[in-house]
Amino acid sequence: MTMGLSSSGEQRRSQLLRGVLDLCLLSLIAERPRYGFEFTQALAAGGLELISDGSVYPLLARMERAGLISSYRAPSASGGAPRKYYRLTEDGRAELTRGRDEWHAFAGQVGRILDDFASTGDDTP
Amino acid sequence: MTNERILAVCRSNWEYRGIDDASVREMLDELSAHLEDASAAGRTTRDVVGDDVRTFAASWARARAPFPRRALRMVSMACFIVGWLALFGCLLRWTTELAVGADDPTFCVALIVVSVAWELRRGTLSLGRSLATGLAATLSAALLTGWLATGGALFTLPLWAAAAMLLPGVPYAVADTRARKATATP
Repeated sequence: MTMGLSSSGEQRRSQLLRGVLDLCLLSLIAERPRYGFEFTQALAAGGLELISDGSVYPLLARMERAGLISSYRAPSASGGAPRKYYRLTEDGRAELTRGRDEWHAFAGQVGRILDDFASTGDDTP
Repeated sequence: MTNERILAVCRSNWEYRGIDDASVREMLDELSAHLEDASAAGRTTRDVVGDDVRTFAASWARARAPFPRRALRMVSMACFIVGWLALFGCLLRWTTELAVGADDPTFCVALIVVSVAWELRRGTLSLGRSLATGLAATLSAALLTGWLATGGALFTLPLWAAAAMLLPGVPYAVADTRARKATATP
């Protein structure tokens, strides 16, 4: 049972992350251009573990096709082969601002419902 | 699964799905660098590509290029290959109209190429098994069509049709060759 609850919690967390992963990536690129592995490191450092690190690539490809980000190749700070870095476009910056507002409004509404109704739960016969 | 095997499966899958050569190389470089970084950070290949590498590769391919664009490229390149085979057949027989029968080498080679490419590019089988599957498919198809056509020609292909089949694939072939040269040049 505990296993089921834990797995259900992980599933919900994974679904929530899937819905906002594009915004997280846009936000990370807004700070500075990054390459694939750096995204997964930054997400993990922020407490967000992906089911598979590679899942950022289809999303990056989709955002590049949509013109939200662009890419270029440059040597990495850690050495080795040149990496493909992603940077934000003007459309991407606008999408990030819009997405942030939507997220704050949505999280606020969900938070209010969860907090307001949690206190009345004990009174139910 | 080793990094090399993952990259080989992804390459097969992306080529099979009609991703152009330049994009395949770019995606392989990106994935290869990620696998190396992940390995240095103590992460496994499963942490990177998940439980099923083919699902991962397919999802990236779908995100990279929409299906109509990939399908157009696949069909054009298939016509390009068949067109060359037909031209080669016309040249060998020094004729302007190629009569293709079930026992025709051109027909058999085309069947082997198609079935091996199909199996190999899906990334499901090794080269040896793909070749065995291709030979089995070709033998069955040749016997069946030979029995149905009772030894006569299945169809005839004029020289102009063979040349016309090359046309849709020419832009893709030129772009792939240019991309290959650009990558080879340091």
